Amino acid sequence: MDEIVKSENGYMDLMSPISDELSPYDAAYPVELLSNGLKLKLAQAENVVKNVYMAVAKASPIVAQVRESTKKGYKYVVDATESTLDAIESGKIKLTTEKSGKIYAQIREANGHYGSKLAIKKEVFAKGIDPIQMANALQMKALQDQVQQIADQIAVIDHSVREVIQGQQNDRIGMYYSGLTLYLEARNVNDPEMKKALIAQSLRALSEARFQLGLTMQSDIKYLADGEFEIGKGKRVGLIDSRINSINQSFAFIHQATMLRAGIYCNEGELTAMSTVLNEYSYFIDSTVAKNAGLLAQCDKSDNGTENGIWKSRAKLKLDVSEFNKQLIAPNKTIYLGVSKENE
Amino acid sequence: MGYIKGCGKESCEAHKKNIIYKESEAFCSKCGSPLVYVCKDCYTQLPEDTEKYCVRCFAKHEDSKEKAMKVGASVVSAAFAVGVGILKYGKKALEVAIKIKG
Repeated sequence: MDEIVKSENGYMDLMSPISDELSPYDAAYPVELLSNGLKLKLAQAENVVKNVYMAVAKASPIVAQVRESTKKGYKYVVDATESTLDAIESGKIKLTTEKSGKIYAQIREANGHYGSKLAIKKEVFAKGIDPIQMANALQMKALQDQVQQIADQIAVIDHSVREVIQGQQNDRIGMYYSGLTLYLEARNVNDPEMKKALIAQSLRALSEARFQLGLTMQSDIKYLADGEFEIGKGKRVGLIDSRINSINQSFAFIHQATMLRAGIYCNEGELTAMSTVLNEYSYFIDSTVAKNAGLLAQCDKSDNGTENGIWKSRAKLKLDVSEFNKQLIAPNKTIYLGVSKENE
Repeated sequence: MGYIKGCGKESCEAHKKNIIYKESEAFCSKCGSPLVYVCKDCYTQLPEDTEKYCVRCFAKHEDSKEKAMKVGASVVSAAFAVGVGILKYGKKALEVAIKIKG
């Protein structure tokens, strides 16, 4: 099976076991929720893929025979049964989801090429793989590398954000805590309708908090970019510092609200919605942070302006999220089972 | 004019010690990395060929200048007040002194 590269950053390392739940009021909670959700989805995908692999390996000779009896010109498949079985044994199978949603398995033959497409249907696999479950697993497996990359990037941002969180208060931050509390309540509600309604309200509060803070942040950045602090003769540095504090505070809670929304969607199995949230975050970073990273680094006394500085590292998030999104919406997905053996 | 360069590689000793280079120099003498423009005061990396100071340090300099001007202005006004006082009361004091002597 595929292996994802273990991250140096232990905090969002998706290979590490699911951690115990933190206090919801801990600054690390949103990212922990997202991290645990992703770990869970990856573990589920891994199990499904293992099952698919076993089922393909088991059913493949039957499929070959069925095809041989119904269609001429497939005799080579039967002739190559031994090598086909070897290929299966050494894990040379690939699974492809097509635009239409159909899933195929292809076995690598002795000549190194992949053979004809074996449609995966319930009747072929008597013991059954749920096609929807399998499609989700394929999606998650195909995204595995991107997920880890995003997790690593988020960890970098998250680290710089957490120090700002403590002890901050204003009405927009209150909205964030409202969303968080509603989600916690939703988790403890048994009635599914009520649970859904509470989650929807939580997501709405988090979304409002995120956009209100986004506007505040944009206005603070404009203040610095337009040099409005020049009005305060002899007090410029104080004015710059207070705006930078406000920007850092807004960014911290935008990040928290985004991670929480992504985490909620992930835990509810809504990967596309999760991707939309991350993509929107990526756009926000691109349009608000990346464009002004140089200015912000110059105004922020805790930044040294290098590529690893606070603002430039925050500005980098855009790349991998967009790649993740591209992968997620790609109509065709292929995963290779037993890649490690193939590459030998 | 008078731009300052520095090493942008964070692991380099020149960066850690905030060693500055002339604008005409292109590479770090310690690690060989290309040099970047930095703020003269705080060593924050700056965009190509822009200013000598970062926004915050420039503002700090402007604030200092204004504070110095304020101090200067208050010293001058204090001196002026003392001068006026001397002119106003000094003459009378001199007359009184002459009367007492006479």
